Amino acid sequence: MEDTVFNGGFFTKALWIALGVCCLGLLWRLVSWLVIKIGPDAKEVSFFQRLGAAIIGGIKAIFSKRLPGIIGGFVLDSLLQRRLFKVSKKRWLGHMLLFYGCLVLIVMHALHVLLADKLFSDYQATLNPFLLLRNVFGVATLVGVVLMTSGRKKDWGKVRPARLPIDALFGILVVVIVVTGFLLEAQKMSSPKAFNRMAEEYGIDEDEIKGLRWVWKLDYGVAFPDLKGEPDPDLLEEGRGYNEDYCVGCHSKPQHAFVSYPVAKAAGLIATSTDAANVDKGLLYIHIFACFFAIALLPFTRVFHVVADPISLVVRGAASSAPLSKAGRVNRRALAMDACIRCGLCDFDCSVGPIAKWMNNQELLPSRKVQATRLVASRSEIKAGQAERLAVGAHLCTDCGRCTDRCPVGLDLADLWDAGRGDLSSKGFPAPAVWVKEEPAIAWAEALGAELGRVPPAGPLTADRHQFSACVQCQTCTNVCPVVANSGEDRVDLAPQQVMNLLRLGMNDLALGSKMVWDCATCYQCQENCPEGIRVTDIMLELRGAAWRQLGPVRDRRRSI
Amino acid sequence: METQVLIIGGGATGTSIMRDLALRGVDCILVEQDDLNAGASGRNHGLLHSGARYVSNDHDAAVECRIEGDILKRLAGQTIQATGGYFVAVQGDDENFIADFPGHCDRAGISWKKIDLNEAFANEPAISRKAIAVYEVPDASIDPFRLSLESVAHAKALGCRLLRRSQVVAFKREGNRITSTTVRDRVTGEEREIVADQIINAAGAWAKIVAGLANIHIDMLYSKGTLLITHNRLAHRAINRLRKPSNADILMPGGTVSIIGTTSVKIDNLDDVYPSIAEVDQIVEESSAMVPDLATVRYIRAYAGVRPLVGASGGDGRSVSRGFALLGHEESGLQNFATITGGKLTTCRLMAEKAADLVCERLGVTTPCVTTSVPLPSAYEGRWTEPGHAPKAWMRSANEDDPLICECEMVSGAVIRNLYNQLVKAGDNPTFTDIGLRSRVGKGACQGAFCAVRAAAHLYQHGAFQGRKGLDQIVDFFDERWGGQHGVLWGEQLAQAELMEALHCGLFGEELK
Amino acid sequence: MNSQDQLWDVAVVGAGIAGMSAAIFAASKGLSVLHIGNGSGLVFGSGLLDVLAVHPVKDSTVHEDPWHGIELLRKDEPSNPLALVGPKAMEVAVNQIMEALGKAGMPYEPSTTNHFVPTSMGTLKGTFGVPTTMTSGAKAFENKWPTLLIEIRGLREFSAAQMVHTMGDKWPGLRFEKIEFPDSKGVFELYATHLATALETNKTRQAVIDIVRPLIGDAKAVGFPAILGLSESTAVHKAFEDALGVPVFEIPTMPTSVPGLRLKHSFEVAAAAAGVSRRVQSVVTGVKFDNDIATLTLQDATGNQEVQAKAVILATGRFMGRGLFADREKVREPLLDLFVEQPESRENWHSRDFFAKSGHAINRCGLLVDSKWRPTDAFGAVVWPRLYAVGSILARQDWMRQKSGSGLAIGTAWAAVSAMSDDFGSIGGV
Repeated sequence: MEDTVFNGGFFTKALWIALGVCCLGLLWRLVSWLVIKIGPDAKEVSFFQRLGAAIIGGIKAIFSKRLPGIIGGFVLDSLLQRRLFKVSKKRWLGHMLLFYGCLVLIVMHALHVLLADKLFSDYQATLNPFLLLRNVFGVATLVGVVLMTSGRKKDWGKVRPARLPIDALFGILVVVIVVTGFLLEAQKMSSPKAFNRMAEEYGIDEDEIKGLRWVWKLDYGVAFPDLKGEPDPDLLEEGRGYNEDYCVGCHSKPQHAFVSYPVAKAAGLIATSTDAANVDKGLLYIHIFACFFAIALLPFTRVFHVVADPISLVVRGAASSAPLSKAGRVNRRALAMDACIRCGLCDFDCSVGPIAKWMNNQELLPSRKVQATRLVASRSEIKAGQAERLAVGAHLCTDCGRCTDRCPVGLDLADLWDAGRGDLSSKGFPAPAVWVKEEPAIAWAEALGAELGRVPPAGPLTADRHQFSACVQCQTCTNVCPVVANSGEDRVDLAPQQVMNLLRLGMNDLALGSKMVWDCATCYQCQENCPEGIRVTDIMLELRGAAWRQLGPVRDRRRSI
Repeated sequence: METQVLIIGGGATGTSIMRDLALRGVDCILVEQDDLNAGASGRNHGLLHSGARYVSNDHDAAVECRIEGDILKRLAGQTIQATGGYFVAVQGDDENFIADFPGHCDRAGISWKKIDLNEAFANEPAISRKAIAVYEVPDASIDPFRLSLESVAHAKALGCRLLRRSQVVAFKREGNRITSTTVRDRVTGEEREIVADQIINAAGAWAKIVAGLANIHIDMLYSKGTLLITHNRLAHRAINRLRKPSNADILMPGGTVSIIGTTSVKIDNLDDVYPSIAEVDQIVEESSAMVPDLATVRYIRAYAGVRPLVGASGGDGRSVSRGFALLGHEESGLQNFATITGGKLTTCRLMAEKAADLVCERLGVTTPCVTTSVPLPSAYEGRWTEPGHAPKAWMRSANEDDPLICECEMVSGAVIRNLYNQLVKAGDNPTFTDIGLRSRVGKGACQGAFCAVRAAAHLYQHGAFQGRKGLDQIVDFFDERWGGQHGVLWGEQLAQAELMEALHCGLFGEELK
Repeated sequence: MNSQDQLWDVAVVGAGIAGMSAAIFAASKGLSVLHIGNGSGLVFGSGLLDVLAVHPVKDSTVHEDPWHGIELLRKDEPSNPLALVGPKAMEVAVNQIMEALGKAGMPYEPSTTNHFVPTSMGTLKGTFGVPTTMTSGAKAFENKWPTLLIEIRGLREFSAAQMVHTMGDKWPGLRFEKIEFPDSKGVFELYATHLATALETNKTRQAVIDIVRPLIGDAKAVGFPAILGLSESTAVHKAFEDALGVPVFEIPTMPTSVPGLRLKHSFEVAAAAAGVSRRVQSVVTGVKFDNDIATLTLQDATGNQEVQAKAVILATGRFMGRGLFADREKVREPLLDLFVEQPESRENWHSRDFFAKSGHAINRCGLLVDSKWRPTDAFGAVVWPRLYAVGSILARQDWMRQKSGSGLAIGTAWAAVSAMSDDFGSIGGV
């Protein structure tokens, strides 16, 4: 039956269409890596520069001294999934089973004509070890899918990595393919029609077939409706002999198909009706078309990562020794959009991840930021509310780099976040450190005055007047401040002791919009040297939070006017 | 020097008279023995009374306050913050008094509103939770320095003159007129004669002394009142005690600080008026019933002023009416001498109107008073006394070469130099204390310890100070500031004072001259 | 190392000159020292170390010979802590500290008398320990050298003009020039420490030298506000002298001054060199004594901890240092509620004249100690046998008027540590 696939006709056409779609999709994706612009520097490189960087980069990687390292990294990360192993043995196992299960099935079963046949001269689908292996890897694939899709909440705890609906589709397809495969195998095993077809093909004559039929009923599970009771022992003996001589060479004992065979036994009960209903044909169509669909779909779902990720990992290996050019970096960001498999490992120990729930803003999580980066980079307008959430997510990042370390597919997340922030800025959503400085502090104070009348204290320290009543305005804090020392002509608008003094006077509104609050390097020199023990730096940090909270609405209101 | 009217005394009354007369086209000279508001006008709560405080015991005064308060709010708004006020009674206060309060207010036409206790606590968290009744009235905060400075500025713009540090030492009387007044410059010792058609004695508590120089006796009581300034602002509104007027009843917001007072101590003479430690302690203890924080807050200054109370010679002074007294002195035979004294800050305009009316009548000037309709223009020299104004102005002009000199109150060098130069231009000999009066310099937490050093350096750098003069003036400034610290030197303020002495004596040895 | 796990020989509480000196002296004697402090008034220092310059205070008599002054003090105020330390011990103690500070990067001119240093205010300060960066100022005034003073635009606390105006009559030939500090265009508030660190870079220093050199004229010395380097003051000072070819000196300015920060830093280095263990940014919130051990509770940003020591030295200072605290009625010692000798009422604490000749009575209040520098109650009974008190917290002295702050701190620290180590020796266990 499989042969018909390559015999021209319907299946062949369908296959070529699927392959065509797949190839076009692949091409489109590859090109997109050279076209998608992410980051404000992306407009500074042309398509040809990017194309050049990709080609030259590839050549450089191959001929570099680091090639063994790159290959080694590839093996460890791509083939052996070491990063996933470190985080979750269960998910690692699931991925291994799923990946290698699929891989073996494709090599050994789907493409046996191209591959398995050539590698193993004695290949027969119905022969061991292939019979056994096919079942084993079928089961492995299914177990892999189960392991990967179950218990997500438990694995990640409070964070919820981003997923797209289309991710489920491919998983469903895989399950459909494997399950229909088992069913098909079971059906074929139990189908008298299949037996008859084989007998006809091989020209087994009437006499021989009688005994053979009994053998095949008893030993191979074919559900002949007319064979009831016990066979004649001699007939059976004869049949067995015939079987040994002519069939066993291509047919191993079906018990090795430890999934299909029990199913076949059960299916045997309804074998005649299924036969009659051409269930096998139906199953085959589903099975094959599911495969074709998967092929066509491949570039468009996360399974494309089997192409994108190895490339991404090689790029990471190459970039670790020689930093990429600007064009190369821009390419890498576009590649990241496809290489990201939304596995959620980056969320795993994000330093601001735990507050995503408290802030009711999942956009803090790296897995979501990767998706958002694309959205922000596009030319489309983002609604203000959504942009605000994205901005919070982007600007709260502490650049600790843990996500980049964790990423199993080699994404340069740190660079991606930088690019994303740049894009947000150019869309009018810069970090508070930027937008606060757009206006002088006095303008913010005046706007706040209009808004609030009275300005609430920034936090517990600023509300505690005992913090400030000890301030003797000695200016030690300013004297030891490296930011003031080095600001030169681009001087800070308020020195630290002036910020403290405004708070001391109760003029919080004048301090809130100050640039100094954001220029502060939080080096803690002021706090450590203050002779009165005032917590100057901690207060600056409180002011940051308060500035964002209280000036943010002022800014929003201004923008909507 | 010649003029139509000589006004003696540069307080709220004298300066208001100067402006009133100037607006009527009458030429006048104001002589002041020290600087503006050196007396009670510079030593009060800064409360623009709604009048509610007097409804129970002095109906007329209450009405007067209401009317005058409204006029000032309308015409001198830049000197006033409409903070509103609460009258708060706590457990143990007279329930009858509380009950009668609204009725009294109604009779005086003063608007009032009963405030739910929880709302009061939410609006003013500093109020004691033992409060049992709260009423809201339209009290306001007024800056008496700004008021006087701008009144003088307006009068000067219309051609009148001010002589500071000029003390009246003698009158020359011929028949029923005073023909000339001898005035001594207290800095140089020089004396000069001023010839005026009419003389108004608006010298406040010193009016008795001045009248005495013309052989006129005025029956006057001196009642000293002490007030304290807190390091930070405790309440947004005026907080009054809802009881029969007594000590430590009023807590006023003063921009970035609060002012609590007052007391009433009979004194015999005007030498050496200072806030005694006993009074300071009394205020702290009594006021904390109404606002508990006052028991633990840091105080940065204490000051005392004298109320001149005319026409009684017994009691503690509080029961004498605070209405003012305009004395024409006809019984003494003089036709061109009058005294106006007593009263309160809130009614200074009215007092000026009455005094000016009398003087104009005697002069034969018929132009009517226009101070109920002409607004008080804002002037540069008046702006800087408002707390919080200097930092905002400095932040607005952020790009100019203008460093802060007084860091505590954030007063910049340009302001100091401008005020100094203005005084120089007016022919005055400015002192650093004068700048202190016209701005917030030295009024903050450090009370001049740090900023005076920078200010001296700044004025020397810009050539304003020459020779030893600058150093001497700064030293005088400390002395003046110290007078106000002496009564409140405990807790953190004591630590600050120690730092001041460590700097100026320990390091610089300024006492070793 | 966890300070809680060890039984320290001595815990020193207070990070001013007294506390730092006591810690250094104790460590030099081989004792294990835990030094606890929070913030420090050291930054308010001018860098000058006073021993005694004025006595009697009411006559404003200034002494060139501090030892003679202390001798007079012994007669007039025998219970003044300076008198109890005595001139000999004082000289040894102060010199030892000056040497330690010199090794830590802040050298002092060796001396046996007081010097009179011109200050930025235009006054003359009589003091004993003068940093080498300032000594030429005293010499220039003493010898009436024609001297150039440099004023820097934007450095608000210093006016060379002021010094010329106020000292010119006593110091003819004193003149000033105003300069623009390199890279300060458009900056109108300069801070001394930033200028000091800028002068540690060759380029900036050379630029300033090039600006100043042509202004020298016939001046025999050049004076700057105290900005000649922060941690490399010796090198910067020498570079200026070499390049300008005349003696160069720093002028002490008001706090927070660079020499104050230098002093703090140098004390920290000297303490480390002596083997002192320090707990910074820590406040002692309670002390318990039983038998031979004192248990101190420390509070810092991370929480509370307990440490144990055989002896405790209290060097917590006066009101600025929070060693003493006053409410409206009384002055208290807040940590252990020790007896504080003081005027009977607040009426008598201060004179109404800030510059009153005799000083303010409250400045002489403080702790009473026995002959071993241990705080006593009102009746002379020692509070705990190995609790010592040093520095300005002690009664019967007026360091601000007597100009004796550093001497008081260092001298009493020396004497107390001597008494303490004698005790240690006699009970064994060092």
